[in-house]
Amino acid sequence: MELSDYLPIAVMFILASAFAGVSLVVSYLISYKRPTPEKLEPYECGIVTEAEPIQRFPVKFYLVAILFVIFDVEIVFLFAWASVFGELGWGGVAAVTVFTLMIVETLGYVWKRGALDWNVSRRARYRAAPPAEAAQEMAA
Amino acid sequence: MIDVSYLSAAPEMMLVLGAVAVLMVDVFAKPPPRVHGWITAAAYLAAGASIVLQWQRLGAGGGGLSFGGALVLDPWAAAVRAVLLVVAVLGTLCAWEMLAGLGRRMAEGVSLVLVATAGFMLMGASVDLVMVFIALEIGSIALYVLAGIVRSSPAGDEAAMKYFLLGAFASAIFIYGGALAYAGTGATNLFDIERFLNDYLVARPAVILIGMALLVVGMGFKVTAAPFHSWAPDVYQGAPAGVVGFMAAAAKVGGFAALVHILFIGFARYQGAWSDGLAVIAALSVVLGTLLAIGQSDVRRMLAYSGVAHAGFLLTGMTAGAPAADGLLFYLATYSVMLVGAFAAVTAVSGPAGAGSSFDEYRGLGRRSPVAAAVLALTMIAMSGMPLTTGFIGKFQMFASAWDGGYEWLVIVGLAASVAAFFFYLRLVVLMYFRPGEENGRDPDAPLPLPVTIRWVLLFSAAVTLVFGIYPGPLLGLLTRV
Amino acid sequence: MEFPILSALVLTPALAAAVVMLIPERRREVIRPLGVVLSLLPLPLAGVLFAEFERGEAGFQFVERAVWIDRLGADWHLGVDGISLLLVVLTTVLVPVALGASMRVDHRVKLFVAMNLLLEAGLIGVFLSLDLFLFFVFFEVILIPMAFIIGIWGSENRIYAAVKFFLYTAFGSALMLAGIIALAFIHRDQTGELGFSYLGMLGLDLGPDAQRWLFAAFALAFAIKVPVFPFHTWLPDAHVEAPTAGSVLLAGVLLKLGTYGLLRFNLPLFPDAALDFVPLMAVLAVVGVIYGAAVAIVQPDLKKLVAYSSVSHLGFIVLGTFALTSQSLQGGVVQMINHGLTTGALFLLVGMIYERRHTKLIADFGGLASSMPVFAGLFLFIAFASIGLPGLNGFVGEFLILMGSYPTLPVYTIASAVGVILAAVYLLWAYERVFTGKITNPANKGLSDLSIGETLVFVPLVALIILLGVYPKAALDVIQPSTDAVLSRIEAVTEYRAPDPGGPGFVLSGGGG
Repeated sequence: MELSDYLPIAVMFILASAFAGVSLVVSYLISYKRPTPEKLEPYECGIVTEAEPIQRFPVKFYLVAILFVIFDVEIVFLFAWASVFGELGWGGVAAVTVFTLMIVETLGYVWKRGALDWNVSRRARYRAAPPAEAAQEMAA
Repeated sequence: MIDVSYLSAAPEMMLVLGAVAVLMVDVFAKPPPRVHGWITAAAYLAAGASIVLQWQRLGAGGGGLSFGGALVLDPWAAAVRAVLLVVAVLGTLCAWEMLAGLGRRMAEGVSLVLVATAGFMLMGASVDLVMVFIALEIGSIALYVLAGIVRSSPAGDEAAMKYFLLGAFASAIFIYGGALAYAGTGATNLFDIERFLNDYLVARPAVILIGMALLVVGMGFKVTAAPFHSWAPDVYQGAPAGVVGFMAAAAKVGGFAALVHILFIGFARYQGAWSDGLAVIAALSVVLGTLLAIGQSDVRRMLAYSGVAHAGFLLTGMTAGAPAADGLLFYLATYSVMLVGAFAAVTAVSGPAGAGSSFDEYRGLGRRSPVAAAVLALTMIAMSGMPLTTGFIGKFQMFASAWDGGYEWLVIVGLAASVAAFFFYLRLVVLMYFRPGEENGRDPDAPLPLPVTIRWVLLFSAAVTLVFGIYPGPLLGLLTRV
Repeated sequence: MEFPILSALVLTPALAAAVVMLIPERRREVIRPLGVVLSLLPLPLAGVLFAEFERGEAGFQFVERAVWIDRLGADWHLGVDGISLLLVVLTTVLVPVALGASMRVDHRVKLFVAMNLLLEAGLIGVFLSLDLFLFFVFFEVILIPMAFIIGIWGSENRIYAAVKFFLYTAFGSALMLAGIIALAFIHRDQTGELGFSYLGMLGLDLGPDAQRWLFAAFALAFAIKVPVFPFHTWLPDAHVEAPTAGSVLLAGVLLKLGTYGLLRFNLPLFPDAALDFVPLMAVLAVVGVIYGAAVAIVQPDLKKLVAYSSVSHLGFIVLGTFALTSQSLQGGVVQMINHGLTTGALFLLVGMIYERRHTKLIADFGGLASSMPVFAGLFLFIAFASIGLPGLNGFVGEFLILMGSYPTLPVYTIASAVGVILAAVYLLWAYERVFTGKITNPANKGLSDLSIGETLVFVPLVALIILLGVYPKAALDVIQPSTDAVLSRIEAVTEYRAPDPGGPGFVLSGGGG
């Protein structure tokens, strides 16, 4: 590849930077400034902050987020396979099928374990579990 | 088309299949624990059979690279797998009571053990730095979770957290080392690195050397070599008793398995440099491990520090390079069996899921549980390197290799540390046999319950330690005999 | 193929220990006598060995060799010569005696018997090994049963004593292991293969520096074991805390491993260095002789007195070994046997009185001769043997050592002769305080004299003491060719020439009385 092939990218880069830079500088120069404490707050939206928000979210969000990351990242591998699809041939197809089946297996496991149930109370889930674990976790 | 020899990854596949089967059967059939036992046993049998097939392939002159050069089937890889399989079987037996106590999460525990084993096996077979890293993570992440699998134990949580943070840190260092090695040589495959270093005279090898050093440091964390050992005592102390032996032994075997390939193949050219580095780490590990072990009041912490010293002994032998591989294998195999045996006894004393194990609990154990005490005493004596145990033969080979490699000072340091180590190894023997149990307000004759799984582990590890200590012939020279 | 008598000697006690471990602990009444019977099994083997041993041969006999650990070049290589033969016989005699005297051990009887048998196997193995790797294995392995014997069945301070004993000797042998590894690699460099054969080592060409280092490594291990003067501090503790059987075997056989090692390895393997080290070793030996005797005199504790007397007696043996004359070396070996018999017997006696009175302090006794005449008579007899009364065994050894050492180390010999006089002082003075006079302490009244069983234990010891005293030729015929071979080995390699090569006939006429 020639260095000159990168020229459009360079031009694009310069234009984008220039636009952003010019906008910022111009608005700074021509705008009126009447600062109030509310306006200086980060993420100011017009209403005076009365209290810090509660910092806790239900743990379910984390679980779903993590599951999402796992499945999402696993899909990324398919792109790698797709780019050399022809070279790998049927062996590649077989390997990716196995790989996909394992993702499906994971989904099945997560599903059956109830990780995707949103509105089942803890208590109800323990009723389904064998007594040993329930007792152990209740004690904890 | 990429060359793929499924046999070269067959044991790992069997174990992973077993893990998947355990999980699937669990959610769909909700079976009693013994079903998990059968599936696990079948997975181990299948893995064992694949290892036998690998040996046969090697014996027939087969083997070599596959999976695009990521894996190799050589005697070292096959032998390490055999060692890890034994460790895994013993570890599973030892942990069974703890796992069965997990209730519905039992399947997760069992499959984590299987996956961890597969990961560490893969470390021994990987000859591509990227593959080594992936294998390392497969094994390590499973172990992080295992350390904290008993949710009711705060010590277990702490252990899992520390293990995870420091383990992730170590992995980062390792991958950075791999990146620098790639920057310097243009390859991540160890054979390519070797070829590059042989073909080109590198004028300024600093980047490669730093990369190599970081790879060693990263693995140093995994094998608990000083000064990268600080996580081990807390993890060994806090994790549920049943799995500690497996965790300690498997990580150590896997770490050394990878290190041998990395240094003996990839960086063979720079042996002069890494030998000196390993010698320094070895001396530090041996001395620090021994000295810190002396002051411990918890048996598990003591075993952790003694593990640091043992990593030092292994590194002592590694300084000699490739000729030491055979001795390393013997040492790894016998030490990990001792370690699992010792932790089986600890499990019997502190309960399957317990954390911590103070020396006081071992007073008069010789009377309360003759079998557990005898095996624990034997493993302590073996770890201290007394003759007629595998510990002596192993240490002897390490010292002989280092002496032959010109590291006489390291041998003297190791020998001196071995003597100092008698302090803490003997202390346990003294407590179990020389002191009556009344002193800690316990009924001295109340027999200690010994689950049958743990009894098997104890007897097996004692048998291996003694039989191959007296007649080590069959276990020596495995690598060259194929 | 001939009957492998040496292997049988090593393995019989080990198998016996396994047999004992199979019996349930509660059957004590069976275990104790069975232990004695089992420990007697090697004795006839040793007897056959002694009878069949070819007199006049300097080399090793009954040699057995089998590959043990192929890759390391270690062999199961056993052989016996004049130096080791009598020590093996001594071991096989003393172990049954020690077990026979331990009928009152009342807890963990099974383990006790098994540990004694294992100890016996290890001790015999040390004396018979012709492979340095094998030798080290036995040398190190005996620490465990001995530490257990002291640590489990000893008196109050037993754990401290057991650990101290273990660590001291383990430290010494660690350095020896470095020496053995170094020798094995020198062997490889010179012959092409890794090996630990003692006979192969004799053929190596070692430079003076290597010899000095190796000599130091080996000598330190053995000096701690003997123990030579500055390394002796573990010995009084171990002896005082050990149970009777432990003391008997410790003094009777274990200490001889040190002197045996010096004679077997240090002199022939590193002759140049040995000559360099003679002054140092002689000084330490003489200091040990006088210091041990002096400390023994002031001991208030009977058992400690006997323990320090060992330091003194073994100093003699070391002196004889490094005087490097024909008689002194023979005297050294004879004295090893003598010391085993007499000190073993003394520890038995102390143990028996301790069982009766639960004290070992000399001040607690007095006038025991009137209540325990047999005991008192035996004690006096053994004391005489230990002091070196002509006609008893001690005289032969001490006389040979002093006669033999005078030509090469005159000053040291004269100085150590003081030790002979001091020996008479501490033993006879102790006898006087314990046995003579009137009974002042009411606790000493009505003590029962030795039972028939207890007396029987002494029969073999007394018989051997008299036999060796009256007819030392039986022992010297065996010893002389081998000790002379050590000397001629040194003379062949170095400039050294031993004075008065044909001495033993002359000495015998003086010693046989």
